Amino acid sequence: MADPRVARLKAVPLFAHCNGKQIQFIATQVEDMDFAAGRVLCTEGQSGGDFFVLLSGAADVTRKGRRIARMAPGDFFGEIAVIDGGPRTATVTTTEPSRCLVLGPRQFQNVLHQDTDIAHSVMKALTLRVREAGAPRAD
Amino acid sequence: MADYIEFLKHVRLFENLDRKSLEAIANAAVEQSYAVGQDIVRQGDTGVGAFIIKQGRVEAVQDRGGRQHKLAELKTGDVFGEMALLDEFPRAIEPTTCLGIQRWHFRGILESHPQIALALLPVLTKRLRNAEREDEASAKH
Repeated sequence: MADPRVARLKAVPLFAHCNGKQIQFIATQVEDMDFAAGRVLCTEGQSGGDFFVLLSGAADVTRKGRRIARMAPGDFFGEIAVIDGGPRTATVTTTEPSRCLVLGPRQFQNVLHQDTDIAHSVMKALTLRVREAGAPRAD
Repeated sequence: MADYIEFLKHVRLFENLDRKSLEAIANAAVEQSYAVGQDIVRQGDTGVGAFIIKQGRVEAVQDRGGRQHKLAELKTGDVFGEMALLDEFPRAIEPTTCLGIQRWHFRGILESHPQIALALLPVLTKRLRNAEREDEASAKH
């Protein structure tokens, strides 16, 4: 019997390349959580916390009160603070009822270590942000 | 190559890597020497993947509209890479030897040895925090 949790995980782009065994393991590490609209998932400046993959719904990413990005299903956030335990670089607030996969720092490390391709995907996302931060401003 | 592996083992960025990953890096590495004052890469040079300082000292300089600012000093065992090289360039301040890895080679290594990516994650978050702090500071001016 196919586990619906496994099918859901396979649909997440971050885990798309994982094989059945890896997905089974990831399923033991993640927690599905439902959030109402307007719920703050990360607060800019607060230390540490969880890593999130948005499964359904939407969320706004703000910095100093200004919106800098919008999260759609399949997007992930929280990787910086979960990697280094430092302060959150932005605030993320749901704008619709949303469902997320949530991993604590230890679970995040467990998943990265058992499947280093995920580490590669997270690295690519970080590299992109470093480039964006270093890019000349349009204004 | 064996002595490259021995050296790479002691590079902090690579300390968690297994022998296979170290071999992949050692195989791709090209050694080059630089005199004092010599630029190791020019700002905006995009063909470069990563450099590991084997011996010597290097300063990371940023060119802001013709004025050069020293950002950091790097020493033996430090690594500077593709991202850093977007907006700053390294210059030798002592006779320096580096192991260089071409960009396309570096990407191939990351793909075949993703555990290197794992080791690079905390380095990247640190860089990102610095870059975003700088970005914010320059936005205020």
